[in-house]
Amino acid sequence: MLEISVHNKLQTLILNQFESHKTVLNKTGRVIKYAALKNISTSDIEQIASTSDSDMLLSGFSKRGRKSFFSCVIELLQNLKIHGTFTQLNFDQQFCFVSKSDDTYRLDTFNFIATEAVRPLSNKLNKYLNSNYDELKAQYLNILSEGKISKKGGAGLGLITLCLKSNFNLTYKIETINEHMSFLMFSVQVPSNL
Amino acid sequence: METLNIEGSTKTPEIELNQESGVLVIKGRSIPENSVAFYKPVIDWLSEYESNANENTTVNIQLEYFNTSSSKCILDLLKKLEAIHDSKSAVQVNWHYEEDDEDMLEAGEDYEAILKLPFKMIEVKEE
Repeated sequence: MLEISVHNKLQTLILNQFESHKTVLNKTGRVIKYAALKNISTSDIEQIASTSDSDMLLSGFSKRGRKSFFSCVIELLQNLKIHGTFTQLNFDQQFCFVSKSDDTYRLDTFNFIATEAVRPLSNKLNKYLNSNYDELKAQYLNILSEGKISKKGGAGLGLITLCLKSNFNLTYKIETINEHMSFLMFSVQVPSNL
Repeated sequence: METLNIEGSTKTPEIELNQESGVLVIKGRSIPENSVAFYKPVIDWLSEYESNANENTTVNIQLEYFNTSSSKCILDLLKKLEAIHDSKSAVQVNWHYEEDDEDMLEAGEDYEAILKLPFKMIEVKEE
């Protein structure tokens, strides 16, 4: 009974987030790609990146903006694949949207993370978002030259790269579900005149 | 010493490392999830090359995109070349970037700032 109740609560929360977000995106622009997934795969990442890249090419988006957005898609979705946490419950647990409004492309992701990871992630993101370009670039170079690749294969540069490539057009929101599980909503935008 | 040839894909670059000519080429996209596994044969080849290095080594790097884990692996292989440059061979890195791709130019300049290797930034026409 408990499992069904948790299952229903989470599924309702996620579907509400998903549907309301999709509605907002459809009202303000055009949804280019959305994916509801149990566990994002390498081919999902490749397909989402190439679909958005093709759309940007067709719409005549700036080359710099296109390359920056492609990098953001790869970094954010590979981060999600490497660091995302899963419940044992059987429903789609990761959502991803690519949308365009006016002259801006936007990637939104929704996924679970461990509640114990919330504070370190928030601290890191707030520190980066409160830095200016030169400060963040100095941190990037320091991690690049001194850091080591983690056991999961990350270089510790993904979040910094997202900030730099999007010119700090990055927002996030975290909802704590219980002591074990939280829900992360991430959004990154790249304007044409980057 | 055998030439290392790795065919390029939509996620990984074309690699050609030739001991006889001393020319090393890395070209294309580098966005694999497991960059360490992809670049391991390159690092291994460079370890062997260190004791059989050509008098002159030319490194041609032309990347369209690379992810952050690749950036670390590229630095690691350039550090190998830095050690070779110090002891065995005159290493020259030619960092190619497409015209108007300021980010890729900046990436090359980042490596140049970290390493003690001669870099030449070469602008190329978009393919």
